[in-house]
Amino acid sequence: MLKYVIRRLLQMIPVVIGATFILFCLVFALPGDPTAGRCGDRPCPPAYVAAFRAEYHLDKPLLVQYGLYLGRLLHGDLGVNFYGNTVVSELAARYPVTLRLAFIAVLVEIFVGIAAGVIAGVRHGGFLDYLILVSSLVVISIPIFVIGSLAQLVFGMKLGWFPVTAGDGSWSQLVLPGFVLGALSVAYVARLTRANLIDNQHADYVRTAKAKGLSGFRIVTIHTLRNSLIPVITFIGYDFGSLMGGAIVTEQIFNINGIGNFIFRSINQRDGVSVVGAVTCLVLVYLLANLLVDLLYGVLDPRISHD
Amino acid sequence: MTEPHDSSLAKDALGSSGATALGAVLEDDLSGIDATTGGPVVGTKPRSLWSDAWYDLRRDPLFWISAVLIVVFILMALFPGLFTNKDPRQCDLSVARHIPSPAHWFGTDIQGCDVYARTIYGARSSILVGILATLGTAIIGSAVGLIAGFRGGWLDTLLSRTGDIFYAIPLLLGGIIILYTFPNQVGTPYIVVVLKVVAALAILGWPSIARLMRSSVLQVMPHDYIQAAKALGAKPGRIILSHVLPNAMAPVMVVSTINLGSYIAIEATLSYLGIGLQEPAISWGVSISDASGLGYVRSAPFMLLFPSLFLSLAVLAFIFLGEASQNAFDPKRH
Amino acid sequence: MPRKSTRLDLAPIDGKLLEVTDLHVEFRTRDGVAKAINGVNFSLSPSETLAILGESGSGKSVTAQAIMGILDSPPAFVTGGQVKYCGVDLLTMPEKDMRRVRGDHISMIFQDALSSLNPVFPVGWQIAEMFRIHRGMNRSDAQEQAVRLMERVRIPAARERAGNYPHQFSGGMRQRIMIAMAIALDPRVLIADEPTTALDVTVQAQIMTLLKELQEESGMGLILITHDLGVVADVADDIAVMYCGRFVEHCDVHRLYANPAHPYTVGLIDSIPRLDQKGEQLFAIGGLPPSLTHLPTGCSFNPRCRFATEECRVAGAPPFIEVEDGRFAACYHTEEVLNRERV
Repeated sequence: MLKYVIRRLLQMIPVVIGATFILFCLVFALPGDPTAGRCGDRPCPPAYVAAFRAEYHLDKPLLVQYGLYLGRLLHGDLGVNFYGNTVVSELAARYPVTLRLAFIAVLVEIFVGIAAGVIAGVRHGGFLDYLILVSSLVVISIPIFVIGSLAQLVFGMKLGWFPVTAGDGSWSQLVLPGFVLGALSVAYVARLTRANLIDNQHADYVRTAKAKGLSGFRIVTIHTLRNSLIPVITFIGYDFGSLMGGAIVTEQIFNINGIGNFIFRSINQRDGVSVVGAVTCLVLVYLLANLLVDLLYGVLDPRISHD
Repeated sequence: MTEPHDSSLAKDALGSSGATALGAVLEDDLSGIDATTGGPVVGTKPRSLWSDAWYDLRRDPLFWISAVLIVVFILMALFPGLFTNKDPRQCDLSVARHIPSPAHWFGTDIQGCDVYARTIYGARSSILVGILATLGTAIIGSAVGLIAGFRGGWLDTLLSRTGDIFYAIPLLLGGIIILYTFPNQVGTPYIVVVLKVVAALAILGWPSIARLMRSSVLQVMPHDYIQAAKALGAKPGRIILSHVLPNAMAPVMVVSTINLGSYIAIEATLSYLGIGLQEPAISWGVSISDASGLGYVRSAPFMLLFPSLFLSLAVLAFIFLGEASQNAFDPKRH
Repeated sequence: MPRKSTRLDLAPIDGKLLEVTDLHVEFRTRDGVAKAINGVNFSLSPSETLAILGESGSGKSVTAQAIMGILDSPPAFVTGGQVKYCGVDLLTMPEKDMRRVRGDHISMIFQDALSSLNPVFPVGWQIAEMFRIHRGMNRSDAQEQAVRLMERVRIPAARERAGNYPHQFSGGMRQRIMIAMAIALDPRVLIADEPTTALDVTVQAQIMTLLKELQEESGMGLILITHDLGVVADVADDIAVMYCGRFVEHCDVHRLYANPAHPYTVGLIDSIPRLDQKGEQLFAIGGLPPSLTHLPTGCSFNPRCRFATEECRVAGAPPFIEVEDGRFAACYHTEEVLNRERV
């Protein structure tokens, strides 16, 4: 297991370096003025441009620039925006709300998605299966900002079941946004769970479990599900990326003062340092989430970690 | 990033495997005899993969629904004038935010523009971005995958790891960074704005196709006839054309079709966020963005509803088509 | 689920554990109906070893799974016959009771132990599950029993290895674990479906010896399913030869080897390489088994049979009758086969 953990950590390093290098190149190294669009709607004042160029060592060779940039990143320095605030402090003030929102969304994904997948898988070929399959495709097809706006309109305004906005970011206010954020992934999780469950139902070890005299319920819940969930867990980790993209939209719709809303506002205020810094931070969080899922994968599947 | 994920991601990219139509699900179950029980080997009629798939597709209602929708949307993108004689840019502030009426079927928006006309004309951006981005990823991905699979060795390692790195950047987040780095000016031509979005999606989206291509190459490479062809001095191009592409075609097409749907959704999301297409471009994302202010959702929900409906239907059509063809090409069913 | 701590009360009647009568199974597929089992009859007594021999697709595994009641249905349907265990028909038994028969009274081991064991649970846990489900034991007692069973099937360092996962064992050790799991509750019948096919020859012999020893200790009836005559020659009492879902011959090992009564058995025995005939070409049965969706009229073997006459093609399937004392065969030309010219 330890060997597995170390191997995974080592494999992570080139990906982090590569991903940050790509982001760095996109922002600083490509032709064009890196200070364009960083000072609101006006061009940046010369003093700011000079300070910016010095801060990012833009007169040094590319690789040196990148090295210095990576060093700052590792120290948790995501830059100072035009308003004089560090991006890290802006994010620090906002991350608890976003974390709560993501937490609800992942819970929805896990419980609703897996339950729907299991029902469809067990009723393979039945009406419920068909219903879940088609409705999951429909949910996958509706972009999140449409789902969000519709949910707000129907459940918030027309029916009044949930608060229309979630300005405070308390748990109760975040329920509806959490469901919206999780909706797309719920559909994927349900489909993936179903497909794996059906594949596994024909596995040899299921035949053995039947021959052992186990009940159908125990075979599904203990033997088949455990095997079927391994890829689902991996998916949930990978899906963290789209979850964070979705958070930008969801927080905007429900006026939640989290990291997503900060990014959205920064885009509209043309505060480039904040946009790039916050998005870079999310990419790093995403990579970290993937690492955690990789490790969890090792725990769940002994064939991976015990060799 | 390594083996265990690839399988699940492939499934994910394929919208997860599994039959959709009720009949198909049943057939799926029946064909499992040999593998599951060691039971009787039932004689099957030899049919080619493509004719077999077409046989199944024709019987799948999902396929027909999506095919009709796609044809309608493509017509809408090419000839919006067929669907409306109103000019989407001819707006009259005095009739702003009117509810649907015989004069304005879908009502009017904040500027007093006809929502129906804007929705019809909005199809062009989405379809254009979707098709071009899919072509872009297919071309880059296929080229990289073919080279990686054929040449092998360090080049394969380099290309595959590079793909992993691009794969590690979530599409929407990467799209925000790229489009933010290359902002549009007021006078930027429409096609350049569209191409920027396409480029962003292609730059971030190619690795999924490259993986598929590479694995298709690796699948056929060990076969004796390929080795024999190589030994006889056949050019790589010939081997690719006659052996690799026919094999890789079906999965690449399925994944591309599903991707096309997601690219349309992502383009709309970027436009909604204010960094994809922007005014004066007409697009569903822009319309929805305009209509989704809290006050407007309350007072004029039709402004939101109609472009949302069209956008969702367009995405749905491509995802349905991908799903249907995936079922049809699924080797487990034959 | 309710934990039953006692065994379902069933005892052998007239010295017979298992009596299978006129069993029929078919697979309904979109390509047609495949008649996998077409009237199988046999019985099994305590301590008896019956080998069921046949090519893949002959229906031997389907027979075993039909007895256990673990066929995938659909597509498989039992369309006729009885499987009486201790006088009770398993085919009509409520599923709730049937579950208590499986594993406890009749258990089964499979060909590929790697795929037949659950990859994500330790082997000790999988063996212990038998005690927890059928005997209502707690986790630690059941685990203790599992370790004892692993010792009984001679897995070295059983206590330490009980926490290992299936993929960490060799093929032979994995099959021992399957066996330990199957004999956990002292079943009266053990069905072994190709238990040694996936193993090396030396390991094959060890596993067969182990099965034989366990049978001598417990007096269970053993059904050995195989396509390999050599594997069962030393351990089986009786051999039943299956072809296209029917028993074509059933008798004791010695007579079957010495002089087969069915042309198909003749072919099987002639195709075994023999040391005393080194250098000669191996015999092979001509042709291929027919598709089960389109069985030939008459005797299913007639297209490949050198004894076949018009009768074999037009009359119904030959009846499975006693041709000598305690010897059954289904052939219109048994006499001719028994008295054929030897090669």
